[in-house]
Amino acid sequence: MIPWDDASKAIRAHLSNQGVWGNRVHVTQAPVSSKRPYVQIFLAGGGAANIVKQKDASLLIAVKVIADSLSESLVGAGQISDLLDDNGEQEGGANPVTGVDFEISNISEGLTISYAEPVENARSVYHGGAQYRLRLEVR
Amino acid sequence: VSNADYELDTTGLDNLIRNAPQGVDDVVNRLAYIALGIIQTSWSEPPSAPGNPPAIDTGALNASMRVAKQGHAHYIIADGVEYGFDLEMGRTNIAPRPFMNPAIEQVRPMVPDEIRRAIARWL
Repeated sequence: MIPWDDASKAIRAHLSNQGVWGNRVHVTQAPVSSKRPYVQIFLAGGGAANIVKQKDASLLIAVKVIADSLSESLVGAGQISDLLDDNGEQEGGANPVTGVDFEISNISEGLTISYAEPVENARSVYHGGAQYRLRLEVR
Repeated sequence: VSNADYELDTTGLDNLIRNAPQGVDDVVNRLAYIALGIIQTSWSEPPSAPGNPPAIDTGALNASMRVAKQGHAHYIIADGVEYGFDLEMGRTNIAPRPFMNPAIEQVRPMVPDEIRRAIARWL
């Protein structure tokens, strides 16, 4: 498994049924039919870190809730933060985000994501979340 | 007890103090243009897949990409089209196709070496 594949599956499993989004957690692309609120996870950048002499990676991953109300997107963004930030396998939490082939050692929250998307009938859909930096090392 | 005279040669330090301000600006400028170059050579073949940089259609996004100086050692890389943000971050009907962040992530590891090389030049 490649680091992004491992990390995205681990985040998806960790978030599922843990917030306002229920089990609607999608990687890269959400189905058009997906009911809001839902979570979207996508790779914002990064790759091999080459810090240690085995496979490792530093990935920038965006995780956001897409909701019909600003309040719901903000609640969802807070729940994502509570579930992910500083919750890597080397950070001492009781229920860390855990990879299969890679250890997800650290997760650090970065830039906030918050914007409104105009949709039909003068309504808006709200995107809220953050970018997360993940450090991974092959097991 | 003998006396000892010490002479401190501050030439290198003086050079560093004199050259660093413009030098730092030069380094950041250079890195910004490297990132811009990465962006402008990273477009996907059409049709672009979600999660990958967008493909060139009209060329408007590529043509609008620029580096702008905001202040001392402060540069931004910006696009000049309305849909650039939508491609980077996604909308309900457009999957994200990041093209800015991946370039910044490629440049980020270059920073320590660029600074190290610059300091060697300034001394």
